[in-house]
Amino acid sequence: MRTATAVPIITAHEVGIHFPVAGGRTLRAVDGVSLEVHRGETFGVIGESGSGKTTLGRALVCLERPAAGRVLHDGDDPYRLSAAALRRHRRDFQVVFQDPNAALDPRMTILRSVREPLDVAGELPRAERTRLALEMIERVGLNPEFADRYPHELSGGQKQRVCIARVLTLRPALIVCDEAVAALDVSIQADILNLLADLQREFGLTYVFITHNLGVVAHISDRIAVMYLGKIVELAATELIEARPLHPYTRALLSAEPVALPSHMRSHQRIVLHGELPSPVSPPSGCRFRTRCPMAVTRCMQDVPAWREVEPEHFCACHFAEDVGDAIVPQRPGGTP
Amino acid sequence: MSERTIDRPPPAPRRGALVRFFAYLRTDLRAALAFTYLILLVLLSLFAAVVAVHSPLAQTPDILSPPSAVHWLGTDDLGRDVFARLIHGAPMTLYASFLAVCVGLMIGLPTGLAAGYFGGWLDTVISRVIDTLLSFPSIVLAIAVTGALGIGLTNSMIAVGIVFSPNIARLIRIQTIIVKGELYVDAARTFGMGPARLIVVHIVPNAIQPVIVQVTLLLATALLSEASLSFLGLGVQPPQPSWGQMLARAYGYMEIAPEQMYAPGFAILCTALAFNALGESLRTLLDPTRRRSS
Repeated sequence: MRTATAVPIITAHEVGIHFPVAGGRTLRAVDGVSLEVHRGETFGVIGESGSGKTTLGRALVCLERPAAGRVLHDGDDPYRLSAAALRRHRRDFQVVFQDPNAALDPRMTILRSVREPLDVAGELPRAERTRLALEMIERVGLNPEFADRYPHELSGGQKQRVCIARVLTLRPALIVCDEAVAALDVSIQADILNLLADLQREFGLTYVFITHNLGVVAHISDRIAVMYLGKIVELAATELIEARPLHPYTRALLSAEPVALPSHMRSHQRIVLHGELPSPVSPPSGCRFRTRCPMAVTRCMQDVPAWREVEPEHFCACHFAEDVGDAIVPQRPGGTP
Repeated sequence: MSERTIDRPPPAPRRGALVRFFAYLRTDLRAALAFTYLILLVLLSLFAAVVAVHSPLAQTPDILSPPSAVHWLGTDDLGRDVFARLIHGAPMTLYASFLAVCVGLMIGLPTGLAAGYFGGWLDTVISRVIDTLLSFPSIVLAIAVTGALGIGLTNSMIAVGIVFSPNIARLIRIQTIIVKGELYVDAARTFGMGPARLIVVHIVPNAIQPVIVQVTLLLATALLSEASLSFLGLGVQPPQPSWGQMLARAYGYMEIAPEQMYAPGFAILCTALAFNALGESLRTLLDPTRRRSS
């Protein structure tokens, strides 16, 4: 599916997003992130709360302007466009937010919300826009009778379907799914994930899937980036990450995934991380993960680990990525004990 | 999912807005009372000359007479019919209230929206001006502005409107800041919606609600301000009747004829109450999460 030679649909180059905080200091929510998302793939971003993954997602669709670095869409910087051209351009890059309750205007009927992107575009007659919106409402599995209702009359899963229908009306090239299923019940999560997979096939969509749920991201993604405190610590194809995680944080995440087995039958020892995520206002020196890393040594305090391709198409930022790479036994259930 | 037809079931016939409005009034006694009262007041204002048999300006020898069959509410210190003056004062009072609130909205809404939406130095400048205006006692500021504009009902109500505007601006500013951070505003931005449309479609409808309530409260305040300013002689000029001015005159004869104060006093009280009640009901009505429920 992937064509490595084509221009990536999104290129992030050393992107930094900074927020001023009290005391004149700066919160670096995203600090020097580089990645490429290719057309047609599903790119997973995983990290715990506060790792900057949502901010990164917002930057990818031009909702946050990077303070450092650049985000390129199809190789071009959208911020070099005129305001009007940017507004037209960004229709191709859509986002589905985590909280479907907040993402719909409570004063608009479902139909008006779904039709809104088409109304903004204003390229079609009104009847046609309504027809397309109703078509999308049906396509995401909602009864068209919902069209005249208000968001508060719908359940969370239904609202998320409305949000998906709404972005689909624009036929975007890429959708950032920012924890799109995190707020939903587990049974609804599966429905929405399957819907997203169907829609990807149907419309040839590219997804950037942001989540803290490893099960979700592994299920749906072609490649995964692991974020920790505003930086990407590991990036590789899903199978590669699952089979040979190089960064100790990735290993901890993998081992933290719940296993549907009684404890005495589990084959692996869980790596438990201690402590909290450090403040992104004053991140630890050297490697940012060192305060919670079971492998940390003095060197980790002094040198920032280089972001490098440890093995083909497998990037990692850990001083010991090369050393541990081969020694690591797959930690996932079903792997060799 | 398989293909399905796009045909919608025929939508339930929508009742006319007026029908729905009256259906609503039947469920809300407070709103119905307030609304009826205000309609009555408007009708009285329009047909003042028909309703009041006496002239509001004609003086008679029997001064400060108690209510009687000829003079329903008695006569004032110049022998003028109080009922006629009350009815002829109503349009003045309503005009004054709405004028003040309209001026306040016309100044307050755009500045507050601009400060809240654009932020930055614009917000800083507007906020400091608002703080400065709010630091004056409102009636003193109104008197000062009236002095600058010239004495008269219209000028004094424009002054009151200017005094109101920082309240409205401050309210809509903070509401705008809250709504601006909502996800549906971000979503609209990703659809390529420009600032002007964003403000009209999303920000104003979601931010305006407390302002509408505030407006009805301000209508009541404007009524009282008109009364105060007319009382001080800055508003309606004699011999034109206005409720505030009537109260001011009655005040002078409190010892001899206390019943003189009841008519204008209750008129002001009831109208202010009606505005407030209407505002309270409006607030409930405008909340979409409470619509269609119950």
